[in-house]
Amino acid sequence: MKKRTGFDTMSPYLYPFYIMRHPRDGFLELKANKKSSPVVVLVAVVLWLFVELFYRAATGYDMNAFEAAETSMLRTGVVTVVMFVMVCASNWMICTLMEGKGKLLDICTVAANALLPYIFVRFITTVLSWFFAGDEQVFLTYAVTVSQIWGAIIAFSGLQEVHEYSFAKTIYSIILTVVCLIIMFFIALMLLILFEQLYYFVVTVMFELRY
Amino acid sequence: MRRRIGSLLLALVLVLTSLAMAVSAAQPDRTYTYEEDTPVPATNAYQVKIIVDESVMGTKQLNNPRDIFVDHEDRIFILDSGNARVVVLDKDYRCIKEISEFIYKDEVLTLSDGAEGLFFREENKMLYIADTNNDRILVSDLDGKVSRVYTKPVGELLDPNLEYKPRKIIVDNMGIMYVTSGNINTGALMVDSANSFLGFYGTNKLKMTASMQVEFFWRSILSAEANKQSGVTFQPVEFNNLFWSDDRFVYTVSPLSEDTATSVSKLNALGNDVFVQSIDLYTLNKTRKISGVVLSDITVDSEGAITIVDITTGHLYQYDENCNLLSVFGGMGYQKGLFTQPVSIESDSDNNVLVLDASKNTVTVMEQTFYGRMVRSANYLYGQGRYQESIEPWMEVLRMNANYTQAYTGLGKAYISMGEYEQAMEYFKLGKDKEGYAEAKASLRDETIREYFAYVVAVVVVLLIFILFYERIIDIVSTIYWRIRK
Repeated sequence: MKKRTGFDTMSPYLYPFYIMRHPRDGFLELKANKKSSPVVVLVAVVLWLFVELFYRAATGYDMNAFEAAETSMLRTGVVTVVMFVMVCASNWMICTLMEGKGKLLDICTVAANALLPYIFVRFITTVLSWFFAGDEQVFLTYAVTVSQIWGAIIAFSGLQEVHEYSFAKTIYSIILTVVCLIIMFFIALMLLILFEQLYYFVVTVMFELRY
Repeated sequence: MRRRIGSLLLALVLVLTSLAMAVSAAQPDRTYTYEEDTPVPATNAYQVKIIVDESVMGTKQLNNPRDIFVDHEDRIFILDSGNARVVVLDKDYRCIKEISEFIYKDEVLTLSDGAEGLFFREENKMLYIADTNNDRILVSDLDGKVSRVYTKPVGELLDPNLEYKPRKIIVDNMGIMYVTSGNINTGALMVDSANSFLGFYGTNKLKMTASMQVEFFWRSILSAEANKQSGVTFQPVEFNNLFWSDDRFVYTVSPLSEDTATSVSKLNALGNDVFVQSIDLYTLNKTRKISGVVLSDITVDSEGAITIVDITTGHLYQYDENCNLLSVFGGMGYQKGLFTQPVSIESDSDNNVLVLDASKNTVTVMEQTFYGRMVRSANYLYGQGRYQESIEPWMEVLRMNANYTQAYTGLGKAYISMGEYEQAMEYFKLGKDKEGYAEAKASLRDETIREYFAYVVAVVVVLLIFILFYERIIDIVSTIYWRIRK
């Protein structure tokens, strides 16, 4: 790697840009040199949050799939962050059981890196949607799809390198991660309903006591 | 002093109560339109001009009248079935003639109770009366002199065992009668003046539905006997009513059902529906969870606006000639401007809508309000593509009813045609018209690019260079940065 500049492209903060172009080598290097950084993760999540909100609020009216009156920014934000946390947690839980070598921070870094192409493309397409009209929307959707596929490839190779898995085992672990996610959602939903009932029970009792 | 205050108070109370009575006698505001299947309140497009009852007509009270017709001279013909007569009113709704005895070859014919159809043919100034329960059609002049009596038409194509109950009748410019009969669902019977059957006209078409598909699936599996036992058949519905318009089209209304392709159609001489956009009252009423809509009559006025009446809810739906909803008015009730059993409607030369109520035994004449006229003219200009002229009426409409989405779209189109794209975008956004918005946006962009073409190209080139050589550029920038620091 040629290195004669003051900007250290191999520093943990600029490293994601290298991973974006060379996922496999990048993650190998990341694992070997312990370049996982909580700052990168945090920045990626914040950027993702911002881009999701920006996409909903600022897309040109003719391409905006969201009714302004029916879109809640708070809900979007919460869903975004919770999604990130839950995916990382569920993969961590599964891979700890499956003898994966990755730490939670590594997994979060992989997820953050996988998000980056989507974040950039979504931001650019949202800006471009102010100038594109009608059928030209196809190009924007196409770009977003490509970025998502590229993100999936990054995530896949990242998990494989970080956990030191074989190809088949990576797929297996991903399937289990999804199952784990579903179970987590189910339990969360159940808890939510349970606590809601408890809440209303307490409220009713209070009501009865008061009158 | 005290007494004076008391009398003053009494006077005040009297005045107030009389005011309250005056208010309660006003027409209730029940007009609405639809915005993507959601009903939105609207300004009244029609108001009651006069309610024509026996005191206005100057004759015996109507009794279960079934049909109304308005001719070119604005004479009004009412088929007063319960009294077995035809009442003719002049422009001012006064009775000028009352035909109760029909003389045919020195024999007096009386109408049966429950005669359903009436038509006045301008070409020979003859009344065609469908005398439903006597299974015949009378052709009579205005003095009650019957020139022809048509019983069941003869023709090889017509099943001789079929029961013939003529309900509604229209006559075209060639003298061919189109008759609907209560139990015939294959279309209207075309009968020529020699009473020979020419064929069926304008059969309603069926539409494939999910339940139909399930039924066909079972039929393809089960045996022929089992299929016969199931007894489920899919048949088209018969016409509820027909309307002959001056531009020689036949408008029909049929019962709403899931498998009926269109319940409102405009038929050409061949009996084919020529509506480009259809009036889909079935879906509208399904989304609103209203059942039992029965369209009883349709009329088209001199400007081409189509009015349809629903007998169960008393609503009148008015569309322009391109089937865009203008307004929905009327309703069920005993107040002025509401109806209990609107069996038939007509429109006169002033575009008033005359509603015949078979249970109130009156004719309600509804006249257009200023708002109604503005909506109508704006829609008309819009339909003609005269967008710039339509700006003024659209603005008037919006001033009175800001809920009318179509007005925003219309204004957007107008501003696009004038080249004011930003204004157009704003109106399209208000009208929730994404296609129009995209069109305006594309035009605005193209115009801007054309204006600043050189700059646009420069920016694109710079961006391209940066994307292609960005590593080298970063190198150069950082070298300069370090030199400066040293």
